[in-house]
Amino acid sequence: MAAIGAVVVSLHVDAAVSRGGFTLEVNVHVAPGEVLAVLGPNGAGKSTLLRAIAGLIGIDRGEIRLFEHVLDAPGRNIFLAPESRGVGVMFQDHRLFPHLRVVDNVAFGPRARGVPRGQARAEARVWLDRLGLTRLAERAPRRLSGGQAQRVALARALAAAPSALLLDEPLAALDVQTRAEVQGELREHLAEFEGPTLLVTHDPVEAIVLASTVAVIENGTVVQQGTPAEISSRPVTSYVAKLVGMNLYRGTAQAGTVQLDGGGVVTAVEAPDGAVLVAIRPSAFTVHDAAPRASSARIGWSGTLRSLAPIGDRVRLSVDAERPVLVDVTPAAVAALRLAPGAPVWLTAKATDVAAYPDVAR
Amino acid sequence: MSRRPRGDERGGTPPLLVPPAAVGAALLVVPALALVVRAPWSRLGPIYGEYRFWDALRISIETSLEVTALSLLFGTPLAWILARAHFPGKAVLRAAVTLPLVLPPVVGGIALFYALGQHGIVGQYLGWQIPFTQFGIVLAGTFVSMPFLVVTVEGAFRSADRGLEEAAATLGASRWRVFAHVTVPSIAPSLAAGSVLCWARAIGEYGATSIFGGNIAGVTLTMPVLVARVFQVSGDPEGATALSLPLMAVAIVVLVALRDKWLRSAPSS
Amino acid sequence: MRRRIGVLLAVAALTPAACSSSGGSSAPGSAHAGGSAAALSGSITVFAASSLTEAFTTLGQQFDKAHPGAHVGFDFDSSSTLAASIQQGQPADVFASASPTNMATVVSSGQVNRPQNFTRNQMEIATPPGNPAGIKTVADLAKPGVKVALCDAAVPCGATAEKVFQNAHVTVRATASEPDVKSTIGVVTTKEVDAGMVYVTDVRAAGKQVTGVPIPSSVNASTTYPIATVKAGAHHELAQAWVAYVLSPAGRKVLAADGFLSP
Repeated sequence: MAAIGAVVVSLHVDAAVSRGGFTLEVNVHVAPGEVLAVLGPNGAGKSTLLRAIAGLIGIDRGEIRLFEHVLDAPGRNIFLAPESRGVGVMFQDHRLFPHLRVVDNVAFGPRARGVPRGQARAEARVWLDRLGLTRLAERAPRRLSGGQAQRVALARALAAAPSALLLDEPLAALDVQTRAEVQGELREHLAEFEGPTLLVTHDPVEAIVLASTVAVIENGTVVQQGTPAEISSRPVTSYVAKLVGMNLYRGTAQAGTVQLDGGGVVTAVEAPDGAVLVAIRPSAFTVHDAAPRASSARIGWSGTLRSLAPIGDRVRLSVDAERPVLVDVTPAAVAALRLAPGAPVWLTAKATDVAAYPDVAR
Repeated sequence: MSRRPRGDERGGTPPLLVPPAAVGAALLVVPALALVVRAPWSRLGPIYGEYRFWDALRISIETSLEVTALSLLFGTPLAWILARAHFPGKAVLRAAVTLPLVLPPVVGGIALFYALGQHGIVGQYLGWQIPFTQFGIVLAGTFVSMPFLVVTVEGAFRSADRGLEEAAATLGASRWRVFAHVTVPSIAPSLAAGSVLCWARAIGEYGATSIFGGNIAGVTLTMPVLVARVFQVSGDPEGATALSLPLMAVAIVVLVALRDKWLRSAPSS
Repeated sequence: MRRRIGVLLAVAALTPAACSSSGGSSAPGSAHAGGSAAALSGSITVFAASSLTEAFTTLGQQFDKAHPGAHVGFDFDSSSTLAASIQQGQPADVFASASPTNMATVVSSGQVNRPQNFTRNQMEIATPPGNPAGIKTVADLAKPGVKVALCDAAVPCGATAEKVFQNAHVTVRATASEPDVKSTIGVVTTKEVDAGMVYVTDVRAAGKQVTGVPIPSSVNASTTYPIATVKAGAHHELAQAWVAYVLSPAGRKVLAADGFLSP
């Protein structure tokens, strides 16, 4: 069967894949032009999802389709081979063909479509120009830097004119400096791509920068899906909270006051009654070296400073209070308060900095 | 005190390896060297004339190259099947493929009669003469030499980078295109190594060929069989020595040239 | 070249001596074999032309039975291979060649004692059972499309076959050239050739595996078998006893039964 071609379509995945006791069960939709980031820890099933969409493995239940074109539906005994899907993949380890020059790597997709060699090379050069890689055209892949290789890999995937694009940890193998550069370029090129894009990553920054929607996947299921802003302000699992650097607690709300599981009380505006999740930014806390007098702050915790770690221009404190809590302060504050591990500290925060929202998992 | 390492010598050779390596090299080199030292250099011309040497050398080179071509043509797909396909009886097939390596040469020759002779289980339906022809020599050579190519290339297919093949498939390449344009180029060094081993085995082939080939001077008499005849039948060890020299020279030139061009490029690339 | 001239001279020198010795030595030889029976012990190796395989194996069993404590072992191969082996110093006590030519090489190199002719063998055409190609005469072997296995021209059965072709005024192009007569008859038994030129004795030894086509005596040729003790042999007395036994009436009887002719 031929590839779907250049028609702009959406990607629909409602599928289950079992692999040796582990089951991935995912229901996601990616609209044309949308970039969905699938964020999750190692072993969560992100790569399994990507490989299933690409056709590198088969699913066990459900279906995968590009708009109306079914790619995989075991119930109806349909399975399209990877080469017939029109789904492009950019791999973490670039997977450039070592025996082909850059231009022929990029021309590989057109050649596979049956485009004559000369024309395929011309197409490849257009893509190389577009991605600013013209001067690398004659190089062998082994003479490319990591960043160059990933750019070429993107050019190669796009030159194959895919209906959908899958990115598998595209920046993970790059050093910090290069990652920032390639990330910026990738954002531009993904914005130009008209089809659906699915990005697999374990890096929340990458997800937030590149994606319009984020789906967090844990233990084979999607635990949260939303815009990057939603995900980062209202995480629903401790994994997501940790990823986005939030303090997250479970508790029960009653008239704006939340009794946290395991001890401690916070006040939150707009807290719905019942089971809730409470998210507090580390920078929302104020640190005191003595018990504060009455203030407008509606949260007052006390505890012992366990450790300090510099994060950018901040210092992250780990405090054993009513609940374990992360607090960001300035280095100047650390000096002024003479903070050291073992020191007693008092923490306050405003109720307006506390987000409380229903805990749908309970 | 350690010597300062030069170039890529770091992590160099443990001294304990040197004596056994030297013994190993001596076992391989000394007999060949002895042939060169003892060769009747002053009689080479007359000997080569007396035994129709050039005919035998030509037949050996031609047939060994044809063996290599046939082995590549049929052995490469077979190696792929053994490396990648799943089917019942695969273990048996793999054992059968390596059988010619351990089969006594005479039995190999007789087996070829039984298979391809005019009363052979296959030959009786073919209706053309295979034993005692050059084509028969090529088939006998392929029988004993192709396993070297298959074993080498099978290992390469097995360890080839599947990631590249997956990438090619997602770019729209058919299975054949992936095989021909990605997998085969990626194992080119192993194909070259397997071909060289296969060719080397073919040009030195004696046993099955001496039974199956016919051994007619100028038609089906190969260099190794000629050398054996000169030694055993004509009782002329000096002649046999003299005749083996050009075979050695051809082999060394080819192996050294290919080593530089192909085989070494694999790891350093 | 020098080697070949040497061989020819040796053949010329050998032939009259061998003829004169063959008749005279048989009687004392047999007497010797019987007289020293009790004293013989040890083990010898006899290098013998492969056409002698059946006859010598029988003779060896009889000899061993007659001489407890003594053992005769054999190495059967083409005469030229055996001669070459003796020249290279392989241990042997007796050499029985299928042609004077191969014996001459080891005589001229001084490695054997004076040889004696002990038998003679003629050629016969061997065909696969039933003679499917319908070979009737030597001339049939020269017809186009007829596949013939011959011994290498450097071994006695090859040289003798060539003499037969000369006698019959035909040129036969071999399909397969074999290193000794047993290989030649082996190829015939595979049915991959239409015929092979072998000794009368080989056709008889092969039994039902081949069908013989006799060659008329007007064109047939024979080769004479000389036997000699090897100077370097360790058991000279036993070696001489074996030679004497082969030359004795008992030995002749066994050889004749296998189709060998008087020398």
